[in-house]
Amino acid sequence: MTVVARRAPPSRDLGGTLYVFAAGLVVVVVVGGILFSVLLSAFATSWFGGWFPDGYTDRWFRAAITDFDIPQILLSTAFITLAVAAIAVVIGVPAAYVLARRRFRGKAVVQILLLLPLLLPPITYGIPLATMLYEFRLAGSAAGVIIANLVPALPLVVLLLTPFFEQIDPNLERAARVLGASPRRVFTRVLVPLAAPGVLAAALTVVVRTLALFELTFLTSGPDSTTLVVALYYAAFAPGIRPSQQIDAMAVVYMATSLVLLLAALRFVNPTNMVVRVRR
Amino acid sequence: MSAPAARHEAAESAPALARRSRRGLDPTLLLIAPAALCVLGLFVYPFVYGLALSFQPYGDNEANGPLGSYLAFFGDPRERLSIWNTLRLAVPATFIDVAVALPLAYRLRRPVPGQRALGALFVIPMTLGTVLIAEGMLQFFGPAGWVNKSLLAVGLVHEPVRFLHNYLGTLISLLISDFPAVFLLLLGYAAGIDPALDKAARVLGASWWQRTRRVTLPMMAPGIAVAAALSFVATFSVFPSAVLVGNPAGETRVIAFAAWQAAYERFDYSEGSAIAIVMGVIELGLVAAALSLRAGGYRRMRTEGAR
Amino acid sequence: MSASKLRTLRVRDLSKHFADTAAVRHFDLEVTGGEFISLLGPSGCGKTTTLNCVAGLLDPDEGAVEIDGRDITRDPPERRGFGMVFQNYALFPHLSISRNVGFGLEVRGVSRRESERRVSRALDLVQLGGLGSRYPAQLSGGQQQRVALARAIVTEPPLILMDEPLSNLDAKLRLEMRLEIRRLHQSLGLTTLYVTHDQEEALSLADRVVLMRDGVIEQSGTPEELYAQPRSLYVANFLGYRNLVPVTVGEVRGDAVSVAANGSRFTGTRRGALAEGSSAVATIRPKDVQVLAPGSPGSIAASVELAEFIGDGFELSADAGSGQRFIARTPDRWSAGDRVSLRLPPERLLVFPVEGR
Repeated sequence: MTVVARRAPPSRDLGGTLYVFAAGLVVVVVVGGILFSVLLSAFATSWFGGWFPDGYTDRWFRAAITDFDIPQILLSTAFITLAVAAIAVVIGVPAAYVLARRRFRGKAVVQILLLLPLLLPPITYGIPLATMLYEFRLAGSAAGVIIANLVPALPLVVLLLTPFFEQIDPNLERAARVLGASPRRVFTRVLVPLAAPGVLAAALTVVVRTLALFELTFLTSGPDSTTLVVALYYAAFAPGIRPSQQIDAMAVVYMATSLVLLLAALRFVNPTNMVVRVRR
Repeated sequence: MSAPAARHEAAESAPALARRSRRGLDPTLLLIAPAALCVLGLFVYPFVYGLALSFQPYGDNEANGPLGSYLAFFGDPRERLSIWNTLRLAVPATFIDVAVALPLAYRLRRPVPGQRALGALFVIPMTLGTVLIAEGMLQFFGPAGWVNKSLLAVGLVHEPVRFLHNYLGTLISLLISDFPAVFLLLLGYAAGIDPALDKAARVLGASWWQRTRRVTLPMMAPGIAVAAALSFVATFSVFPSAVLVGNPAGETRVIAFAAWQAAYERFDYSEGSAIAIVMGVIELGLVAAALSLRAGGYRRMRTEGAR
Repeated sequence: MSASKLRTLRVRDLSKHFADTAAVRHFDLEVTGGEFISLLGPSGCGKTTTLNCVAGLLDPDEGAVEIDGRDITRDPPERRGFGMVFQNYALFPHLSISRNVGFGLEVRGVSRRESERRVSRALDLVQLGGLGSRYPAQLSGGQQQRVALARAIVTEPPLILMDEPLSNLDAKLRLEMRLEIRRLHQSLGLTTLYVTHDQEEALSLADRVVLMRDGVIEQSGTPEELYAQPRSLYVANFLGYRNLVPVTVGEVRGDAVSVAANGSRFTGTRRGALAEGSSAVATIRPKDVQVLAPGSPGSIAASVELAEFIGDGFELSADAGSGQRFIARTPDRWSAGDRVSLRLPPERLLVFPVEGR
């Protein structure tokens, strides 16, 4: 067999590829199963014992919208996540720029300080932080929730954007200066357009993470300043008060919000950036 | 913390933005001040505040001196047990997730069909968050849920398995919600390993197992250490799922729940802070250990020249 | 001086596609033990794909690789027992130099003592004796290159594959390592397949050069053959014929052909089929262009635009009018603006038909 007809070459690592797809299948079955059963249940008139609900209705959504005041929750969720992202970007972008471009005494300390809130789980610093916010009478308000969520959001922006600024050639800035641009114009005409994609990605990452982050909002929010995830927790925490389908309807609202946002985010964000990466 | 006061030392990294006197303050450095102040005020200060608070016991604990809150936590077998309850969730969850994610991440360095869709698939649980996963499990893993129905239909079990409101339920929810972060961390790390190394080992005659043992695992070790440490930190602070699909009054009364109960049910902020500090110390210790392992591994390995 | 362990390597009708593009098409090559073969071509010509198919790192879609008559096309790389040097060296960063070099011996189960002896001999061979306990990151680029060489030869493989091994080194080191590679090849009686995009490297190292283009062999032969008798304009251009003159073919007499360009007529050597009146391209190396005083008979008048000092003389860029520019090397000093005459020796001026592709 010197000349073999052209064919798909045998995979050198069939085992590895099979493993990948087996793992993918497990994720699809488990995560898909969870999401799909929530979805069906939310539209079920009742679901006792059968493989599928006994009938379908949208009444749980209508009930959830009024009982849980979903419009209000959505509004405050949007306000809080966007505010957190905006503030984190405004404060974080200049810091990331400095960390990417300058060496200075104490830089290592600043970097460790910025890494710590990402390494520690929120509940660890959340309890003292919430206690402090209660002292300042900020807990329970949207301001308090925003402040608390900034703690991990700001370092995330800095961490994501520092390498981004590093890969922008500093000679571009030098060239602009030599060509007669003032520092302000260098910033607006050179840096901002170059950094825009990275900043957008960082902001989206913050929005996605703040939406899913439970602990900090849970510890600091009040009735008017809650986000979807905390509202869902309270609904699920007190079962029996409301029919489970109504809680599932709420979960569907949350699910839809996150999935839409995730799909939007994945267009601009490399999923790897959604976790802390300790750089080598 | 001395960022604003720091002098700039390296002229080579300074574009023309700031050319004041050589010894003077580089005004560009001021740009980092808001971020530094933010972290100081919102992270360091509350932490110090909580630390101080933890040494000012409250109520009955006051009689035991400044360590009263800690003594209360460690002195009460029920409270103390929460550390063990957390460990027996966090350690297996971390171990299983790393073990499952490692080959996956290593294989996905090279393209497979549907790479992007697979990547998104593995990330979904993270954006959904622990609360939704736990809430959704109530239906899916419930006595009449699809999992039990399938097990009964296949004949593997004769009565529904109790997946919920116990240790198993919390472990499953941790496995699902923690997996994406572990996977992405390992994927990021594996992507940084030069694929030529594996080829070199093959040409030199190393079998699959020899390559795994002598090249892949040693090369991945620092990444595994970091992923495991961060995964442990995340699972060690398990909270909502321990309540929603666990048994917070018993076997899944985890340390985060104990801290929350102290602070928000008993309004003993001192003990709440003390428990939070204990959590932080355990976690930071682990992260530090993992990072030093990584640094030690990498000092030798830095191969700028070979790239 | 030891004898080669290989009698013949045959690559037969090898093809490899990536998605819908053919990286290599119908590649044939026969290598005799002890030969140094260089696969030469620009990036994307399929030379590295060919090398990887021989190594077993890629599966060819068609064709076969045979060692001493045995078909190894479907053998995994770890069972072929070749040595390979990678472009970025691919040294294991977590292993010491000794263990890097000894890796192939270790996985073959060679005893520790035997392994140590052979590793230290290999390190001596590449002049790195005594550095065994260091790690790759502590070595310079040139030293890493030597480690990679030692690692490839220590198992005494029948065939050594090298994938652009010198491209990461600076010019001076590149020259030094080139000699080193040739020396090792000769003294150990190795058989070497060497991939490069650098014509100078290929011509100076190899016994035989295989020049590739778009996945097929354009020409193969000894360096002298390729240098003096390029078979196509492409080969000529790749091997340093930098002056290209579009011409009209005049009278063809045997190998001699007279051509016309911009009103001047000159004679060249015919390469390929040329019909009278057709368009063709005449080409000549800069060092073969003779630069004479203005008004010399049988030459082209030109004016010097640029004169660049290149150590043993000057490289001139001269304008011959109508946008025709010549590059010439001459030991004499000329300056920009000087009028000169350029003479193109007929035996050095090659005339190719215009290529279809």
